[in-house]
Amino acid sequence: MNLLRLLAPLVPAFGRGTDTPDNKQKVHDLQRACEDGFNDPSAKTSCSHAVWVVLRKMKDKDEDYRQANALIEHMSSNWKEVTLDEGWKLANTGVAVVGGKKDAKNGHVIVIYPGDKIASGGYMIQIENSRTKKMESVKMRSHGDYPRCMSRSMGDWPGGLSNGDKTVFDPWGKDKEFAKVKFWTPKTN
Amino acid sequence: MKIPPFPAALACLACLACGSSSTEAPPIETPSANAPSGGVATAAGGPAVQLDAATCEAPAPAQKKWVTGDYAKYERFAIVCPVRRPGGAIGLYVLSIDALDLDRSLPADALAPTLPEAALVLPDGQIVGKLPYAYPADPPVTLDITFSDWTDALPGAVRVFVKDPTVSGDRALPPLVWRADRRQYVEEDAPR
Repeated sequence: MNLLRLLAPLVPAFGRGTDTPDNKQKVHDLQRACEDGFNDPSAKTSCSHAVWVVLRKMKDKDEDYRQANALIEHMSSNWKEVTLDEGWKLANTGVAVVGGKKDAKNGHVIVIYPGDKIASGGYMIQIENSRTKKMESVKMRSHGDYPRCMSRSMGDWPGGLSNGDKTVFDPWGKDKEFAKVKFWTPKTN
Repeated sequence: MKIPPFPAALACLACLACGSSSTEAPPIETPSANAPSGGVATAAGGPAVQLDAATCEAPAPAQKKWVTGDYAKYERFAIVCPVRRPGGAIGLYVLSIDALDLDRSLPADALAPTLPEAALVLPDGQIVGKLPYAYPADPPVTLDITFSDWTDALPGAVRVFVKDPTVSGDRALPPLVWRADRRQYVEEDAPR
């Protein structure tokens, strides 16, 4: 039995299916695809373009482009819905898992980034104190540990911008909103 | 009952607060020159009053008994905000937790507290409605609350505008309307 398998129960980063040569390559490919998606010029202000880059690399090079709401609609009908935990495990075997929530105008989509879970929050935000009529700078507190994500956004919310350094929770930043986020993975035959 | 469009003054605030994914601002109306101080004229003609968070204070001794249940955990940070028609008596209060005040009291590495939702409270202490978040701030979101459609001192409608910097964006929530038969504020389209 190799050392990684022995250490798996002790070190959570191991033992998620990332210890076979095939999965290592797939995980590496997914990680690269996420980085490419994050850095693609078309994705600078577009979550859906960032996800599209990943899907063309990891699912189908001819994948159609869909805006966030349309992509969520498409995944709801044609992909397999998974729980966040299932999605995290799949991402750690190199499988693309997309999360998203529709909104009236612009929904938002992300990709689960392979790796360990990390604390959400930790960055500074500006918020108006309407009792004192002054802007205050406060730290976005953690709402717990979540899988990492790749996310791009048209807005300037720091939680919406992640190259694996923030979590799947951060784009939405509130428990009530995050509870409406769903995750999907392409169906396999 | 159908609620008239979002008041003009809030529409302007909404524009200023918008992120690029924000809710489209409602049509802008010109505030009435005859509107009482603190209010603007709505399309229906009644004064709409935006709650001013600067009027919120720690509960008075008689109001401390309102700070029970989920609020009791954060008793030190409880605030009570009076709701009154311009020139009228107080008909309602908003009971909440001052999240920014609470935040300053927490250790740097503390997890985000789960705050109780702000409550609409009658002067006798009866809770007659809940807002979706703490008022005026529930980081990272802040709330604007507007009261209108008054019957004497009691507003018949409560509109909540969520200023949300996250990817969810700013949004107006379905208005809460007063149901005298239930003595509750409920969502406008809630079943009777």
